Amino acid sequence: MSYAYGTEEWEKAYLEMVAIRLATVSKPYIQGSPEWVATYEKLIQESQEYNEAAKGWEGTVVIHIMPNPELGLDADVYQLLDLWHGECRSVRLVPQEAGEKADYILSGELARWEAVVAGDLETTKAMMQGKIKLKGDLATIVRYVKASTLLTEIAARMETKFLSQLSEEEREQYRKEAAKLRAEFGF
Amino acid sequence: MRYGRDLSFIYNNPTRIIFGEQTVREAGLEVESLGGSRALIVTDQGVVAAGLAEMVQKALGRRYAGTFAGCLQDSGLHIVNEGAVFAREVGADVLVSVGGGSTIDTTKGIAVLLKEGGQLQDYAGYQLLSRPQTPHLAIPTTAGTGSEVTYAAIIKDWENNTKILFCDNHLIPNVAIIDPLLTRDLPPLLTATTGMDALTHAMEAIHSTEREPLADAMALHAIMLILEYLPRCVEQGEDLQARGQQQLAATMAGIAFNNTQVALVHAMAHSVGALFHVPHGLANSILLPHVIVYNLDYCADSYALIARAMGLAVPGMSNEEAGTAVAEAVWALTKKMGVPQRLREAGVPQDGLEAAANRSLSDGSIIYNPKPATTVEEILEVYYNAW
Repeated sequence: MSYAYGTEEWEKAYLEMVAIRLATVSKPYIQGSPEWVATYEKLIQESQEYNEAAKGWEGTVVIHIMPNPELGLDADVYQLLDLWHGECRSVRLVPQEAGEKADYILSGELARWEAVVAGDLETTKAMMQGKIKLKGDLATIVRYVKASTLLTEIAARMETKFLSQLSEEEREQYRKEAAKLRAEFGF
Repeated sequence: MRYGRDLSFIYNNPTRIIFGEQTVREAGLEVESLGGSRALIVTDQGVVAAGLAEMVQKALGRRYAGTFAGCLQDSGLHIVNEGAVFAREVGADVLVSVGGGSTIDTTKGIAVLLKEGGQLQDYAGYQLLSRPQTPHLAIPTTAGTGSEVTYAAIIKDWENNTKILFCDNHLIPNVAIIDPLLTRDLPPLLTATTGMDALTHAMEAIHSTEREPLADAMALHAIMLILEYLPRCVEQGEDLQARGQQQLAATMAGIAFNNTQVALVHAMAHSVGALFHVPHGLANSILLPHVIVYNLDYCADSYALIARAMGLAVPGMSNEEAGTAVAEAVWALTKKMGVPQRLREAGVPQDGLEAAANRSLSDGSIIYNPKPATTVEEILEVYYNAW
């Protein structure tokens, strides 16, 4: 069964899918998987520090991971963070059409995002060096450097399994599940 | 800020640089080496009136396709869009900028639109381009912004009275011709303020949080050259040796900050530039020593390095004393060259400082300042001191 993004059915089915995966998939979660994204969402929501630093922030942010078929990532991944005045309203995996409409889009190759989440690559420096691209109003994002740094730090504190660390068997399994989710939810 | 063991950086300096008197004559051959046959000169009316655009046109010969002379100080989104339309009409396949930073930045914008289409606003951000743009040969006529070797273009949005920053490695000009003859007739005050822009680039590259040794080498030598040759350029404009060395210093300072970014001085200068039309070099000149004083308790060792390059270091001098000496030397230099010392002299109203401080917080440069400047009050204090 497939669901149209933006509908109540999509949201309901998405949350049910996430709940099942959180209950059945063993940790550490694979970066960018629905259960990883859901854990990330919860940690941001629980962060008082983020809440303070992002008090005036308005706008959606997308973390866009480019495909890497060799490592099992057959399609672009768009993680949409719905952030509003210090509150993280949601973090979802979304279809490309929705991801590309975000107010801010940070795009990078899988290896770069793995390095960010591993704590090995600082996002501001990565942008300066062209390792991560930023689309959006620089003047606004600059005022919230602390908040965006905190978002990175929260991700880096998570126990994460990276696609580059998977065995061939695990990678094939990931690939199949991702294809199934893509068919159902469009991402 | 000593280099730590965790130092890690990328040094990028791809521009082919051609230096020397009369090297503007190489323009035609350089256009061909870029694979072009129809070169559009992008410039401003002042450069045209000075006969410099004609020099380049002659050098281009059969490769000359036309001249777009609509550039203005601070450029403009509408100017870039007009330039791109004109470039398409004349079938340009190479762009040749002849002018100061605003002209070079305008040309960077045109290069993008010629290749990618759309509007320039679509490309606002960091490193969004994914391929080389229309080839760009930059011929600076000031010394200067260093824009001939940098990945940034600052274009004013005249409708919203703000400056938009475009940063991309694909914006860096392919070739730069640095010919002292093109700066010979620059008036003394413009020589001084554009020269101070270069000094600010060099000093900000050293106090930037992204500071690294290769850029430091460029910046320190630029500082030494500027100290020696900029006053000579101001006093004796026909001194082509001095003009040439000052140009090289500006280019070296550009290479430095292209790799390490600039910081609070530029954030504040951009703001008063956008709000009160203070020329960029003048704003930098006035603000630089005040920001050095502001930063002193965070990066005095960086200023101590600069003090040694300036010949100010005295045995037993503390880093803080060295930093103070640097600030005082900058004031002395600008006073000697007759550059306005205070923002009020540059037409900035006192009741406009708060708006400028607020705007500075949104300027990308600010995040690279060694001492955090995260509140309006912190920046306002520096503005008041400079006013």
